[in-house]
Amino acid sequence: MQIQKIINQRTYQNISDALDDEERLNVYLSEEKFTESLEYGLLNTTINLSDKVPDLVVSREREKVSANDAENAILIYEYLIGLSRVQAADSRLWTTLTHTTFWSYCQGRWPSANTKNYVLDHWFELKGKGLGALRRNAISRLWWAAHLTVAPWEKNTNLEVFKSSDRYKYTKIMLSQQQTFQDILEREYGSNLNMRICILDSLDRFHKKVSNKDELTKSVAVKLTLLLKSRKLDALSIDELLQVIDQLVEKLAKKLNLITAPTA
Amino acid sequence: MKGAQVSYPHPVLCNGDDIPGFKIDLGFEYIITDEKITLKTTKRLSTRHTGIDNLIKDGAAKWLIRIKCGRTYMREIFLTSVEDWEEVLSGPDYEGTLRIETEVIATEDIDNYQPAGLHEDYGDADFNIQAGGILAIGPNLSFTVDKTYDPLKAPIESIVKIVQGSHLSGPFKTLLEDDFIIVKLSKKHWAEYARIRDRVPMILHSAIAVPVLAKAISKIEEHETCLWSGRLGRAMASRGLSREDPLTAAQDLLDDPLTRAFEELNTRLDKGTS
Repeated sequence: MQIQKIINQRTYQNISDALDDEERLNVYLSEEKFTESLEYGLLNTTINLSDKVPDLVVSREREKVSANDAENAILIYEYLIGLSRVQAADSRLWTTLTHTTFWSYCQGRWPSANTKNYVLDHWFELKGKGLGALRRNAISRLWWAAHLTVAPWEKNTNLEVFKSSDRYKYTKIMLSQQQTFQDILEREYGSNLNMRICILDSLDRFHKKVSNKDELTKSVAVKLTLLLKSRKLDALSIDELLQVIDQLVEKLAKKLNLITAPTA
Repeated sequence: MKGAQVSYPHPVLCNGDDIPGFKIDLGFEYIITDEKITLKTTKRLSTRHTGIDNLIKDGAAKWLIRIKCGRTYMREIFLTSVEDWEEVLSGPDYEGTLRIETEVIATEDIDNYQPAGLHEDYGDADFNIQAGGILAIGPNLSFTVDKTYDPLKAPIESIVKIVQGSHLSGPFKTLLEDDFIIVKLSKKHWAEYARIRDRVPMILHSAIAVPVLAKAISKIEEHETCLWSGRLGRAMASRGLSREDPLTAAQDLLDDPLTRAFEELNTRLDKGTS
């Protein structure tokens, strides 16, 4: 086991400030390593790392860069096994990892690093950006995706109806489609475990039967947000909750004329 | 009806004047350690509306207590019908501002719902409520879990950091999207600041910290995932300061910096130092 070190706040500020300089910004696009030494002022943490650094995979074809997100999320989650939510809320950790261990992966996965905001989004983690910041940092998004979905039946026994031999079944569902990942991470209901898993389970079944997955996912997110204003679905039993969500998804799929296969 | 906050498909206690004359008063206390956060009520869970309290006693409705933490993406709910409630949360799951939302919700379908005291605009109407439907809205409360906060430090040191920016000259910039409020001075100002910050701290407080804190106070809710937000909120609460007048609150937090700046300046002038 090794201990993860993290940059201090001053270094974080210095390297983010440096993005105003075009030459320093170009480093993210073209250099094989981050050029500035981060050794000075590194802080020890209590975060244990597996001995083997995972080899994250990313396609060279731009339209397929997200194809390995689920696989990479599992690798990152197991590499940082035991990380708590409070530790994972520290932007210095993720900024350290994007600038050191996973520098090449970040460049491959986020290849348009020619603007300051793009680099801030994917190499840093901006606290005030709310829930959205979690899904933008190139590495934290992978960890959070796995953490929020791994073996939900181990966290809440009421979710045993969803038990699978694949502990990462719902990680794979969430990352199979960027729209689903975005809606679950950025909508407030996505932070509730029961809601999150029921929505993913329902979308997974209906996505196999519709012509436009993105359109269905977006419509479900909008309608669900409206419904939750007057009805607290997170208080329902899992059976009731799944039934309500299934009905909503099916109704929208029919209304939008998206169904290509029988639904029952 | 006047003053409704949200338009629900049925009357909701404490939503505008759907059912006039009621106010739900709840309180919670909390004990925070690294391992756990113990939360318990300090006032009994009651709506003071007999009909709704009876639905809770009969099991057709329950109190829903939702705990939310934007920083750690944690959201848990607890359903209860007891009047004195206590729960233990996992310490490593929470940091920063925790919001407590309270509501009464139907736990089963309720047909022909017609609570006593309905606003006259409802007439004789009754409603079919689905399980999960909101019957009453309690107060929203919040508190801060800050495991790195050092209460012995001056509040300002735990909230604001002044650093050198990358701009050569011009006004300072304030960033609120971090765990500290970051004030970036131009390179020219930073050189001056570094030279005199220990000699005339009060004058600098007046020039920099007052406007920065005033701005931060006005944006405190938008940045509740940042640690400074909870720290500032706590510092204000401990002094009984209101957010309604950020400029006054900022001066109170800094213990009247203008008066102290004059004193500092007069002392230096009397001594003939600069």
